[in-house]
Amino acid sequence: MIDQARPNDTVTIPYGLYKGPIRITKPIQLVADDPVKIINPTEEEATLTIESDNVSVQGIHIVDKRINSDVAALVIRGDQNFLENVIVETKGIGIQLRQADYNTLHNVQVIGKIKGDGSPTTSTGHNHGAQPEVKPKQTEKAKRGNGIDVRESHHNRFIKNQVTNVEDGFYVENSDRNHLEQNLVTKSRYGYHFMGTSDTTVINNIGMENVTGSQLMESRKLTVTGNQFLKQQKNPGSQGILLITVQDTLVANNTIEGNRVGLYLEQSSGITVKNNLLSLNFIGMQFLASSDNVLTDNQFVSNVIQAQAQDSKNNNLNKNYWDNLQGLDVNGDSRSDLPYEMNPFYLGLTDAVPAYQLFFQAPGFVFLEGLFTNGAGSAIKDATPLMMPSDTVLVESGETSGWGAGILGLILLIGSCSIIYIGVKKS
Amino acid sequence: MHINLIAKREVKVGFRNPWSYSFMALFSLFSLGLLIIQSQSYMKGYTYTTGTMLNLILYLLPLMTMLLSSFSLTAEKEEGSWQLLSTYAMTTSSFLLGKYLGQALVLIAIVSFGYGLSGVAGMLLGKSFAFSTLLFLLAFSICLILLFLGIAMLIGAISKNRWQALTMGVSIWFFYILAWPTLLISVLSFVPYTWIKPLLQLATFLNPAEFVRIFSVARLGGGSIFGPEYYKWVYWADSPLGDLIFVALSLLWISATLFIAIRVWERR
Repeated sequence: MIDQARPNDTVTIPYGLYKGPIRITKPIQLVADDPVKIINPTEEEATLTIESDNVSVQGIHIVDKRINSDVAALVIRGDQNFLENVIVETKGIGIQLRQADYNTLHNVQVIGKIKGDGSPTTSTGHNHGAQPEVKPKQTEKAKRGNGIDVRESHHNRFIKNQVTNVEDGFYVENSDRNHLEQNLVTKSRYGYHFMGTSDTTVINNIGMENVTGSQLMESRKLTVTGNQFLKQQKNPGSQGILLITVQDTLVANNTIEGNRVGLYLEQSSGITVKNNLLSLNFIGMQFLASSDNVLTDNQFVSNVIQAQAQDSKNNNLNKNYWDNLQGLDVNGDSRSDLPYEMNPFYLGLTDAVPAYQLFFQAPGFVFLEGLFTNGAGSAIKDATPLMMPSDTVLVESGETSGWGAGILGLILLIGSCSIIYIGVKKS
Repeated sequence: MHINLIAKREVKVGFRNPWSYSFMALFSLFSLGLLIIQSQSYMKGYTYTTGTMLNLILYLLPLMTMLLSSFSLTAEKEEGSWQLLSTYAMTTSSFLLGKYLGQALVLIAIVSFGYGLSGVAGMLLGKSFAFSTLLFLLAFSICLILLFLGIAMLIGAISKNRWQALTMGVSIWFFYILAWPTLLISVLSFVPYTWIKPLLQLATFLNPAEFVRIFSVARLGGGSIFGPEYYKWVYWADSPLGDLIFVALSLLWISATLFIAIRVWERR
């Protein structure tokens, strides 16, 4: 049917189960109104390959069961193609874009089908200091591939896609000016992974329960705004957003919540971090060897440790809100005249001997840290921290399911009173 | 059943001791304080608030346990009731075990009173602990009490009077809670680099406050914060096997301290 279609025809696929592989080499529209499933019996080829420009594919469901293949279930090698409402189930790579520009992927779902948690144990994210990778068992096991894998492809748009249980949700390498909006990546290794890209915009996306929400490396001029990076905490190398050797990037209005490390900056400069909410992370922010960055108007709320910094100079930190600040506002400009200092002690210690991370928040260690901070004059500090959160801060108080605790309290109270009574009573 | 008798007597004496009530008042105040801290912030999992609360409990409870219980043992010596008791056909082990059980009951009653009060107060004020939080804090506190009670028995057996017990209790508290990281970091700086991690792990097993804390943080889901070095540990701690290991380790600790305490007591 596809072979018979002429360029610019619309082909409506009737309901049914089809066998791939399919190769589209001319600009046609492929539409499936009813459920259409395409499986792939071959070993090498992709289930669907688009090698043309201006192809549109809508509403199909691809099931690919090849494992450890270098070729994705769906491969695009042309420009200005359009994918919509496509579901890809894969045991390897979901979708590949190769030298493909100006394509749009809208409402595409990539579902990784490798069982077992696959990654958190097999791949450690980045962690400063020594990094003994937790070795995966080297059997002939299927490895997860990337969800949407983009290389040498520019000006593509990815809107409202969902990726789950893959290696990297979005992997973008050597590609410029791509746009990611309202995507969702869950249970994968890295949510959004950029290598050597520039001018990429990442807006209103969500990364949840991945090893690392967003891993940005060797990139320039990125815009990361309005995203949510939540609950990246299970892996000892987990982060919300990680920036390594990134330049001139805007990170603004993001919600970074419940991660092991919320925001991690290493060897990066020219980063503007503004208006983000970092809450309930184990460590709010870590700064390593990063200079000339600007951090303003962020909210640090209820992180176990708010921020740590080491070897970082010339950073401009102002007007952030730290909920454990012991501030003093003399002149009434709602900014504290005492700075908020970040303690380099823990980072310095664990950098030298990672084993000491076991002392994280130990009572004695908090005590020791206090001794070392006083008068040490730490390298990085917020000169004018806010006294009160600006209006955007909204971390709801815990759900107060009072009854359970109240009844337990009552039982405890009665129990202890009766023990006391029986104890004291003269027999 | 001598153990039973001694335990009953211990509970009775324990609650006639004004010290118990002052500690109860202190702990109630303290747990109301915790209630206020947590009501201002979000509590689920391992957060700044939970971390702070764990640390506050770690400061107070071991000291309270060691003082109260070691005093109860030295009191037996000072007031001569042990001389009286030893005229009966009763073994040292059943005496100390009875003391242990009785004291455990007294301390748990004190702690339950504090948490119970803040649970009820929270319900009345409409700003309560979450059920799981309260249960977690209670379990954490009971673990600490049972472990440090073993140490307290040892202190009580070694010291001749309350002053010795007080000195020893406070020193052990300072050593285990406050000075622990400082001492370990300074001592471990003299050993080869590759020894640091194994020695640190070994040392952690020797400090009940530390292993209870680490296990609790892991159970709260914060285990990954200890870094890749301890990934396996934390993975265990979060599994049913981890519970088993933790219970076994705690029992080992309690029985070891009690065994030594009995030996020391018998030699006197």
